[in-house]
Amino acid sequence: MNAPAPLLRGLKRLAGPLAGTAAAPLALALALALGSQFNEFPLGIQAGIAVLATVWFLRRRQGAGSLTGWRLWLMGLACALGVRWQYGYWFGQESGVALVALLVWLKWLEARGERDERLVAALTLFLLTAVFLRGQTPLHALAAFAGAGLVLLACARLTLSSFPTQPSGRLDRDVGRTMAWAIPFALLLFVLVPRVPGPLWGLPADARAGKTGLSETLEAGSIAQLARSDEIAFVVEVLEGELPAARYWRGPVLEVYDGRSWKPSPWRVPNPALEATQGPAQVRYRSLQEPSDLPWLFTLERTHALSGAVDVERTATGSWRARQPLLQRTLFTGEARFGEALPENLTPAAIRALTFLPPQVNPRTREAGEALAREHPQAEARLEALAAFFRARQLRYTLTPPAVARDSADAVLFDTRAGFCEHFADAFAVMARAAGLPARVVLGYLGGERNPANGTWIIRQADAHSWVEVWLAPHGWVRVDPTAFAQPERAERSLGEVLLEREGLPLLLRPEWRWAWRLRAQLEAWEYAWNVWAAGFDAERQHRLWRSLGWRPDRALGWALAATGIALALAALLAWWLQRPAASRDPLERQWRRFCRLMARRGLARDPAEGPLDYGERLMRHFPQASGEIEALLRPYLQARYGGTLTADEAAAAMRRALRNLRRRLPQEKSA
Amino acid sequence: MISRGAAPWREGLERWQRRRAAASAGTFTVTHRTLYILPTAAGAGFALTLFVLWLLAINYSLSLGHALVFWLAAVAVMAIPATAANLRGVAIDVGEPEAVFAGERLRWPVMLRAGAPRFRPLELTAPGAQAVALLTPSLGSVRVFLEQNAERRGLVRLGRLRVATRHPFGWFRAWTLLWPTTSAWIYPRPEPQAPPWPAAASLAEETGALSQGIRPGEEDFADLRPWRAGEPLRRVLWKIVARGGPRMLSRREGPAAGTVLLRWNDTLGAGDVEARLSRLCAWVLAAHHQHLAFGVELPDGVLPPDRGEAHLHAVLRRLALFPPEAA
Repeated sequence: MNAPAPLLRGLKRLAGPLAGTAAAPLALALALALGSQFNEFPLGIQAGIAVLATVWFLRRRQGAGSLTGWRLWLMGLACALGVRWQYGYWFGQESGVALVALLVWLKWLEARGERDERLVAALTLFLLTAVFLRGQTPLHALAAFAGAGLVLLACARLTLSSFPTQPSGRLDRDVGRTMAWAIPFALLLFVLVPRVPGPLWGLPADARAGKTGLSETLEAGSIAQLARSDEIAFVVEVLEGELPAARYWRGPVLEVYDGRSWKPSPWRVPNPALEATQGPAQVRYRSLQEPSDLPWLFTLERTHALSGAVDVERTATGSWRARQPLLQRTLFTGEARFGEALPENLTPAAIRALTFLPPQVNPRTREAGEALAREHPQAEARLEALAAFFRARQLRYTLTPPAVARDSADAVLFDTRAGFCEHFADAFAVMARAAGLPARVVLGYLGGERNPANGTWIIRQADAHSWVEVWLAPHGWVRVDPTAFAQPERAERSLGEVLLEREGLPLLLRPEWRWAWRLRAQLEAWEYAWNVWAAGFDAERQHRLWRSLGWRPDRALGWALAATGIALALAALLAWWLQRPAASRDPLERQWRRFCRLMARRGLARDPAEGPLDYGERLMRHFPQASGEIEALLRPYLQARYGGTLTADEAAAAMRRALRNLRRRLPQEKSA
Repeated sequence: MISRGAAPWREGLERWQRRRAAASAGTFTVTHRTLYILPTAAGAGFALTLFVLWLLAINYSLSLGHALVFWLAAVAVMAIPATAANLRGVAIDVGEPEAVFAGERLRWPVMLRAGAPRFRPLELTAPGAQAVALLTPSLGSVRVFLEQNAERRGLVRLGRLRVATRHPFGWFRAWTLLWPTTSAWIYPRPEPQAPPWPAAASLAEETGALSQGIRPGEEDFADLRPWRAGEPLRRVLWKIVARGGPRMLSRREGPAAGTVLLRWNDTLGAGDVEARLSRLCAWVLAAHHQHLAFGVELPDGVLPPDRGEAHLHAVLRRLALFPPEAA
């Protein structure tokens, strides 16, 4: 109550008669809940919340009674229609939260007693939890937990509303202490209560997705857009081994070409040869992937095993795909080997499909490809010649290539001779197909920075990349990165170092901003720890923790349930112990109580109404052999207490001595 | 009066609670034996809220949502002993209220003392009476009054007293039950417009002008002032009380003279037993007010004439305990 005094004074003046009532913390909690997601609401909802909150505030401040009748119903109807109008549908996650955000004020306008206010408190708790739907950063957590604390305070004040005076300062401290004691037990519950894997009822269609990221198709310019975003795509922690120098993170593989864009094949024969890639891992890593709209997991090239909370499958193209879009932050562990081609035995039909080019598109590139095929009947030599052709074109690597309407491969190779990775990949794949080599485009990320603060690798959206895989008869699919022909360093160095033009790159990717980069690295290290241990603590993480404690996950459920029960029982016990009457600080009183306890154990408890003199006389009658000691104990007590001739400390010392002698005099305890 | 039309289990429950409460007589100190605690409706509502939030956290895999729900649940668990601790060690003493006439309000003084310094908001409930008490670390003991309507004359007890608390969050109610053994006197209601006692009632020689002159109900209301606690009841104008007014006194002292014997048989015209007692009561008060020595003759005995506060109360108690079915 002392540090932010001016702020508190201002708040109190603003609150007027609301200060000290249950409504004040509840209103603050609602402000936190709605304020931290205010930007996410459409403008109409924002206006509605602002109007209702103002109406509520003014009415409460003036002490106007509760609102009832047709006006309330009308407002409720208006809110529902407003939500329908703003979102275009009735039921969904976003519209549901918006509706509650509006109705909570109506309920409060109508509130008449403690029960109604408690309902408002429950709705506020719902809105506070909904904050986490928007994000789970430390700031979101701070807002939600502070808000929940305020709701609890409001509950406490509501409980006391029947009392004439409410010493709110004392009450707040009491409530705060109870909330603080709950923290260690909340942590225990967090770790021990078995997580139920969601979702339970399926996510609504409008459940939030990632804003940026790769798409599933490749078109000119689709990746260059991303190069300007320094948002994190995923963070990788190496558990065993070392990452290779060229770190290709593989995503969707695009095998269908329609003359303009590359798409994943909707129908694909299975690839039994992939089974052969099992074997001892050269590197084991853990990746924390940010939410996105797509089901693809970006894995290190040649990742042959993957485990995590989500249900994943390995596609025939060797990428990893979840059954649902990865709308949540996803944590998984991968194992990989490098240096090998991805095996596959293609049937002639498959080879035809994978060398298909639509007619009349990119005529010059096709012609050049067909010429190469005639010159080099052997596949490896043809690929070599293809690479040499690309190198000889001296393509320029740029973020802002000239716009191309159609025949993109022709334009890049013969007209503009400049492009970004997607242009090169597109041109190379087209030309390889024209040369009779089965080819496909891979989307993913390349590189990543090592965070010196915690040793993780951070891969940003700016690291998005695309490259080509070409099938060579005995080996299988071999990676070819045509961007490397234009800019050989790109594969092992970051975009910022490579791109000399610095055309609109994020500031922090520029080399001279190293200090800021380091600061950000530290922040991102903390963010990673937060995401893994707090925001990302899921069933998989929990099982790993149990395993490290020596519990087998199949039996761990029972263990965890038992531990939860024990934790709750301990919580209650500790609270009981903490709330027992405090030992008296008065030394005199302490000795007196010791004496009473000693006697009580011998079956002579002091009657509550019995004064020390009467009690002493009764004891002396009972233990005549110890009457001297009893008197020696009583006298200093009475003198200090009622006579004032002795100080409390002196008397306590005398009592302690007398008590020691008395113990020796008395017979053993009754039970003995 | 609690188990009105009660099911057998309810009676059994009360017997069990009474047995536990009887363990401490006199000053009643709340211990774990006499402390009961159960969730309230608000607590059930909070549990339901937590359950819904938990489902929300599961469905959207909100790890921090789980953390929030678990923290709130831990707070709720901590609230159980915190609620019980409000009541544990509280000493409850129900004092004897001042005697009143039927129709007045009976004020039971309840003294509450705390074992250890703590913020303890307590709610007291007895049949027909409610009060709140707030013990704070700086205010270790407090006296509150439970006001009951004094309906029937006699020697009454408070009945079942419940001291409860819902602090800190209102999700649990801890309470203790006691049946205080202190009792209170309720005298019969004085008849408002009582006729004067028959002339034959006056025994002594100086009967006549004086005692008949100032008949009950003819006081001079010129200078009245409110009665203050501790002042003799003799000077209270009972006529006003009987009409439901406050206790007032007149400064005028009636002269002390004469002796009357107020007879049960003379009240025959009043009606049933209660009405006759009311009339007797009015006469007794009038006689006391006029400083007469008065005696009362009842079917089961005679109270010899005397004067003074003690005699008045003795007579009124006798009237209060008059068997209801006697004729």
